[in-house]
Amino acid sequence: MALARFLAKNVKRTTALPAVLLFFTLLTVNFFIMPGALSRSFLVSFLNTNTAVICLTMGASVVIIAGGIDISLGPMVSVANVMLIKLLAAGTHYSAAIPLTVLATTAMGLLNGVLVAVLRGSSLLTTFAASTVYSGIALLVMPVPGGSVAREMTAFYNGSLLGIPATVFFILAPYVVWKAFKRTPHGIRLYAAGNNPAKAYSSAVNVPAEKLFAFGFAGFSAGIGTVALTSSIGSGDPLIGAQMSMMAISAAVIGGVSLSGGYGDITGGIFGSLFLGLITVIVLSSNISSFLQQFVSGVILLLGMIGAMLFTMRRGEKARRSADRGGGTAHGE
Amino acid sequence: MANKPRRTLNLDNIRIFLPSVLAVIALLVLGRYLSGRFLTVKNLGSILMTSSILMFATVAQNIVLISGNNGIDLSVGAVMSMTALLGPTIPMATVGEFALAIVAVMGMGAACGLINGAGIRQLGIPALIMTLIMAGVVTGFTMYVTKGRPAIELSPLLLGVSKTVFPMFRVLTLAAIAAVAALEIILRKTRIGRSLTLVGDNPRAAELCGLRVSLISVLAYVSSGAIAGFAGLMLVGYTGSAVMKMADGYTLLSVAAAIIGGTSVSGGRGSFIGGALGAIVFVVLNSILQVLRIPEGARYVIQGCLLVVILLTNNRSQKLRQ
Repeated sequence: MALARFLAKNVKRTTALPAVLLFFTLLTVNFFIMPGALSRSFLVSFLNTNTAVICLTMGASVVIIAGGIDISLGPMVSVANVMLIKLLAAGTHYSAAIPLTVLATTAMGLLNGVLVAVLRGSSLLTTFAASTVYSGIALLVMPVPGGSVAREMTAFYNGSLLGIPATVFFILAPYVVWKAFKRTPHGIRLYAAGNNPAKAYSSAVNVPAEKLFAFGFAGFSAGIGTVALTSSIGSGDPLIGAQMSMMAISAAVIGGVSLSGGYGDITGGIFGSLFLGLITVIVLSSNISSFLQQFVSGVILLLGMIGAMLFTMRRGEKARRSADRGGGTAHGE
Repeated sequence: MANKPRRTLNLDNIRIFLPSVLAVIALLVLGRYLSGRFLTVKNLGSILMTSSILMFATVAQNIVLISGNNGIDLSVGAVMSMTALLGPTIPMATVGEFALAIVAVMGMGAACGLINGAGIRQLGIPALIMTLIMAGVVTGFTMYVTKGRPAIELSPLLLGVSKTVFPMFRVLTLAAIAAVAALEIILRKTRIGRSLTLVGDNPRAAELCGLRVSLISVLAYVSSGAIAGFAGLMLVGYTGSAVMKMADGYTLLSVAAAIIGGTSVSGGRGSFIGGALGAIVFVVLNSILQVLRIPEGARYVIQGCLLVVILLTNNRSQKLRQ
């Protein structure tokens, strides 16, 4: 009884629930379409192809929790991808090229953070402008797809470490950084800054600093995601990230992260991106005419979003109402 | 009472239009300096023609941006691509049929807008996400219906939109100018236009005034979709053929043009004329960069940096310390 009540309470409290439910529903559907779908090899290759989006979703979630939005994460991946390939082609050892790549995306993330948090640009439009710039840089660095990676990178990425698929460690890196940050006093401050910046400010929270961390973290996650992606596909493509920011943001929202800020966590976002990944798998494996595939996956995504919204709506309203109590006036942007 | 809003409007007008007008003039002078053939009637005519399609897209975007509630329509380009591909399949032999075809494409766009509006208003899905998913659905639908085949056989009436009427001014350019002017008057002077502005500026106050906030913002998405549908058909009339995803780039350009034209991202402030000028700025800038043979990547970098500068000068959010 006590256990059931404990479970009920915690399940109710988690914002990730709709995304988790959606994910397992699709996983079941997929199992019936494709009987091998629960084998280790399928799950590992599924994770392998989705690690980049998962990392990006974690970054996007934290920025949204901090009351912003970053739609330049995808183009950031493009820049980092072509940069990594060019560095390797120029003879840089991968042990130097990989940290440099992560450093570059972190710097791009921090630049977005400065523009939004310090110079107070609107985060949607500023990162939109930044994404134009980043796409341009990627095209300048490498106008056409090509290149190759060190064989060790591909081997490591497709192999496993201590019996755990290597790709899991790429997901764990941003996850651990965020969970550690959340345990410090800054964790609650970041949520406060996202929920109601004016009130957070009057409670002596350094709002710009918290936002800056969120953007920097998103850049860092994008870098880790890029390294995973580049090891997985083994080449460079200046357009590779073009669709990714929007996938990451959709995944975060399905995962229960509220775009009004200060609500949700990255765990939901992870399941949201797994749900998106499964849509592609199901549509590809179900023998639908190729002309119909995009329409079907779009409709599934729309239905999933509607389901997630209906699910969180009442609870979200409740949370917002309790946050509004006391006459909060400031809204994120 | 009657004087006050008019005065603020005038102040707004100068502040909104001046940067774009100066930018266009500066860019035209620069273009003349760079190439002797830049300021010819023919080139200016084609710049205006390209701008007029972007103007329609920008109007569609502007309506949604003005309606507030973090409104944005990322399905503008996808809807345009859809009507560019599906529109020409409607028979357009006579003027009557052509008019019906226009109504039909606007209806298609309006249907997409209605789904957008319903999802955003009734289910509370953020506009950014809803319209983005809608863009995917619309593109998928177009792919399914056309099986990826381009539209190449166009009715002469449709191609007629790019006929030159006066030197520099083609049919569509004149239509765009007339539409932008008419919509600006509707936005400023009529009840529905003012309601839209109030809903965007302060939805709570609008509701207290007895306005039906949900209905008005759903209508904003519906009209945005309808105008985007029209713009798509006009685009294929100009280019002469349509391929999958041909208009997708208009989504981001329309946002950029609206912002340069002085529309506020937080809603409740904006101008169609400003947006139209913003559209001209982007088209002229692009054609100059093409004259200079600047690679695609560098063009993006320049446009993006320009947009950052503009955003940081006219669209910054309030200081936390008040």
